[in-house]
Amino acid sequence: MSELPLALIIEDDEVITEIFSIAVKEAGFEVIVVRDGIQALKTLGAETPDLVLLDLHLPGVPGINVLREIRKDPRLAHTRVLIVSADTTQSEFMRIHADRILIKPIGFYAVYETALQMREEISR
Amino acid sequence: MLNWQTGLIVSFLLISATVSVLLILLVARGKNVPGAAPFRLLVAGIGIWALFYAFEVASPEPASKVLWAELQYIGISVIPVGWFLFAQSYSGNTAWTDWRRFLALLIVPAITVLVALTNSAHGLLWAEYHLAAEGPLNVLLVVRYGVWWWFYFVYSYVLLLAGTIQIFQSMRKQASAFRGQFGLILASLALPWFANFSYLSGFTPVPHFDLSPIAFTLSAIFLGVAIFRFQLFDLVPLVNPTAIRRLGAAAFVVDAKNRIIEVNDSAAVLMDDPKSNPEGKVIETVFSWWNDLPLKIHASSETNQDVSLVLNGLRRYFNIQITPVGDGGADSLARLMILRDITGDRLADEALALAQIKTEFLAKVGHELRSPLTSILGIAEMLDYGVYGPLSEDQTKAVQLISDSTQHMTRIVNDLLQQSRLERGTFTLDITEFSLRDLLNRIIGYFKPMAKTKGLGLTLDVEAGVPETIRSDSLRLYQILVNLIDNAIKYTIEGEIRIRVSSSNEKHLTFQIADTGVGIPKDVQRLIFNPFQQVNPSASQRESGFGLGLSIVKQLVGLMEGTIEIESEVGKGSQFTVTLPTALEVERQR
Repeated sequence: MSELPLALIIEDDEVITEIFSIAVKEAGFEVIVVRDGIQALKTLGAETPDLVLLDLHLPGVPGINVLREIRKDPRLAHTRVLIVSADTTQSEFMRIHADRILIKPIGFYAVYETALQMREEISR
Repeated sequence: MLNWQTGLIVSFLLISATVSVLLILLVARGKNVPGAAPFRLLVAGIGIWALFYAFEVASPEPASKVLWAELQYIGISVIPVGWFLFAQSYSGNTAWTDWRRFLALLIVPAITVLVALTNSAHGLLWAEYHLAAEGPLNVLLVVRYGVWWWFYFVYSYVLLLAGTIQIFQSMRKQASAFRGQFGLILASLALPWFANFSYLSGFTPVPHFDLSPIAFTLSAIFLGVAIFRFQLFDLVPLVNPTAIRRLGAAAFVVDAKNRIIEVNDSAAVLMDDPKSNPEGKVIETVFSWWNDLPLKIHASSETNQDVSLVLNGLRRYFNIQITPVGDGGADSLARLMILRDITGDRLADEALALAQIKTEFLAKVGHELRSPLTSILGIAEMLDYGVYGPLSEDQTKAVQLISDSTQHMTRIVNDLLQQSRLERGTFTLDITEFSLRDLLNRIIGYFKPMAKTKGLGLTLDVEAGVPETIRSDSLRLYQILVNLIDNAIKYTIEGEIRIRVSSSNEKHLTFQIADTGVGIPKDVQRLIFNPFQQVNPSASQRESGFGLGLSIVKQLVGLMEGTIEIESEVGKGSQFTVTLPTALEVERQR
């Protein structure tokens, strides 16, 4: 199992978390789930995920701050970020620093296929 | 030497003179009252005339009688001027308040006094005269008047007549409100004319006695009573009636007892009976809505407040401005009421607020629907993927229906959100350089299966001269074309959908999407770009959506500095033509 790439899913909605983790697992990742921004920052201090699936509306620390912390940390230089947000407006910072952006509502397949593509990019 | 008639007349004249002095003192109390200054001049003239006339009658010496007769002209000559100026003030005419005009009016009186005092040298005033030999009064009798006297006669009568007519006209309007006052004024206007006429025609109660000074004194008393008893001057020159008439807003003036003095045309419309004459009537009998106003307004002498009224069953909004007029005491003040109709502004504000609420509501609802939609779509797709085990054929179909419906709802939510962003003006174009050919191919690829299922032809024709790449917002262009082609396929039962891209010049691109569908009736064509407007109400529930598609398309085309046109015939088909610039230079923000 340890050779699988690691994905961190940061999402506060229980059902959506379930869907996303199955989709990402199906795409070949090992999955860790956290439900708020503070937990996310804690986990990022300990782990080095290959993929972060990030919701922007988070309790505690806003998603955009989590993205900022990831991009500041040289240890996470290779971490890819997939933003899944209900916001259709995207800031310049987001567009530059996120690898992919998916806008909710989004199904299982879209997340699965995107994760699959990103996994291929990672293993390349 | 004095007989009793002479004594009586001298007494009368002295009383007149005394009354004049009293009137001057009384009017001096309200020195800022309009019309007071000319009134004092008028009364002073009368007093001087009466006093010197008394001296003339009483004087035993013929020479001094002539001197007193001459000196009377000091008073006589200013009376017409005083009267004329009083009439101007009374009727609100300020043109004569200029002191230069006042001095010009005094030129003739001044010359007349000089001529009178030097008459013995030239006889310009009295060409021939003697002292009355018979009768009870031993006064100066003029046999033949001189040239200047006639000139002065005309001058003074012109002024007297002009003033009288003016006062009469301005009083007549307010007759009903001020009946007692009107009677007094009429009497004061008529008396001097009678007296003067009687003297000049010889019909006097006492031979050779000119009643004019006494008549004028009585006039002055009447005027004085009108002033102090009825606060004549507090009311009359209030506000220039012409100015009220010229006001665009509804305006009317009421006296201290709430009786209408003046109403302009705009205010007349607000009367219960716009054709009736409101003058002199109490305010609420003319404007019945007056009783509906807040109590505060009834009592206010000065206010500026917005009120709402129901007039003829319609709610209207007015700004009411009440200004006290005159400078008498609080209970003698008239009030000028100005009502500005602000209904239009109010309704516009309300409409704006409603639109704002609607936009925010759309955004909120749209946003809140995203999470549950994600859950539904995600779980349906997971079922389909087999996360929860293999599905039977029926189960797969059912799951497919859930997915389709969710995606349809997703489109609706996206449209709503986009509409709300367009309305809020927070929509921004994302301009990049991209391959037009790639975009078109993606669109055709997306619609090919759909057209095939319906048995429709779908052709793309890109003419020569169309640039390979363009600078625009690729996502929005994609959205515009997808919307139009989706509609074309939706409303076409048989035939084909043709997409033609051409470029008449290097600056513009034209996209034509033509179908052989049901067509759009002429009267509906102008409505189809309105938000929430259904093109075809008979479209099935699954296809109908919110009717936002074409509205969004039109707004996007507008944002991208383009135009959209429609040609359509019922039963034959429709053609949408979109023209867009090939290069948008700056990122445009709405």
